[in-house]
Amino acid sequence: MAKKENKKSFEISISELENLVSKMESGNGSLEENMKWFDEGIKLINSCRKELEDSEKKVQELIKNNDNEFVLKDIK
Amino acid sequence: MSKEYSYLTVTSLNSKIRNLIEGSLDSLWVKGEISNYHLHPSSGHMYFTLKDNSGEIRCVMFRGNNNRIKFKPENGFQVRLFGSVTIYEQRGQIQLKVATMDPEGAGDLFLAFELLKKNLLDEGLFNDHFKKEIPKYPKTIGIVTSGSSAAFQDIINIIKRRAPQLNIILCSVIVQGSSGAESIVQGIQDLNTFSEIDVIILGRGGGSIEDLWCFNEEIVARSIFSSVIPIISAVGHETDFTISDFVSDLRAPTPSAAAEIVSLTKEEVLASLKNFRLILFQSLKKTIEKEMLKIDYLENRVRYQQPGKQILVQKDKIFELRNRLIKYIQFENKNKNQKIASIYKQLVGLSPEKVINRGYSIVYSNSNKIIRNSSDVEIGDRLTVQTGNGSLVAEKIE
Repeated sequence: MAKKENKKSFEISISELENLVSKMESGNGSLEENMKWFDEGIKLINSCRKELEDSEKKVQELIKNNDNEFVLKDIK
Repeated sequence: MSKEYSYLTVTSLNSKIRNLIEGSLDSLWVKGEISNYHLHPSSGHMYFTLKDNSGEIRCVMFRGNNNRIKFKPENGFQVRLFGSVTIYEQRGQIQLKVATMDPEGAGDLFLAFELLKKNLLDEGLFNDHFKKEIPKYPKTIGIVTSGSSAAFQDIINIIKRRAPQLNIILCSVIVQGSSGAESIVQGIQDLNTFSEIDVIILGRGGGSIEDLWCFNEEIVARSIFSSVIPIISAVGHETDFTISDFVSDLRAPTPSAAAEIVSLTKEEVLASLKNFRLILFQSLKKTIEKEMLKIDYLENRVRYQQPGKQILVQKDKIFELRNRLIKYIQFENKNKNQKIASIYKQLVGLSPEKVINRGYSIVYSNSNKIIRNSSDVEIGDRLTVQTGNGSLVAEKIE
């Protein structure tokens, strides 16, 4: 489960960031709104950074075991 | 004695040969290898030599016939030709006039390739509309190739070097021969059951057209098309184009290139993030500056009305009014004072003392009543007379 969220979250964070940036660059929105977007943006950037550092690095092979089920085996 | 020889001219000799050949050889099929191929640009006629191990023959295929060929002839191609043998009289050269050219061997494959390509294209499988976006920040990479190949090693090395934070899942398949296509199809299907995979690299190293052939098979093309996960096709060398290249979501010229495409280096991602940060700051700064400009503008408008000055002006007015009021009051006072003074004077003038001092007297009766009428007093009544500087007692005599 966690892996699925992980996979989506980075891509989603980046597109959220792009959304925030374009909102801010449009020049609309009150000062309060702009500050809120700014805060959210910084939070996203920091969480993306953290994810980059925290990642697992694995090379695995997908094979079928005796019961014909999928199994991920670590290689190198 | 001299013998008479009959002489032929060269022309008539060639003519005789021609008749002989054309008379005894019907149209026929020949197979061999194309060499010395030349397509005449203006006439559109093809000229080449057809050869095998120990013989060769010149061929010509005129434009009317050769524009029916379904492939592009090249030196080295094995072909089957249908035509008639003749002699080009001006040169005395035997040649084959080709009516039909069919590919043989690799040529067959080539034809199949072109046919399948056309069919799938018409079906719309290559349509850009269907191509999925390759995620810019993938976390897990799927690989469909031969696990024991150098191509796989290359991919792994590149990804690990550039973006060690990525996960890699391999599904090892057969990448050539008759069982290659099915193996590849199975590999794609199997990896598709792992939704955490963001993108799949499908490919193999370089080889001949026969080696790469399974990537031109229809079942592979359809399996790529129905993959839920985006697929990057990386088959052979830069100049190799296979059907899987056309149908997949992205073509990479080589497996190594595919590895580079998916592995934005950590540095590149960090740089992206840094850039976002910079833009956020700049945007906010601009917004704040805009608000400050607004405030400045409003402040100027207020200033322009000079409220300070207006206050002073009003203040002056108030002072002036106050002064006028004071002056008025003073003036009034003075007036009143004068009035009072003059009334006082009058009053004083009218006071009995003043009258008395002028020579009049006040006459009081015994009972201290002021007498105004002499008839109010009887003869013999005692009276007090007040004069200017004292009083005296008097009696009425008459």
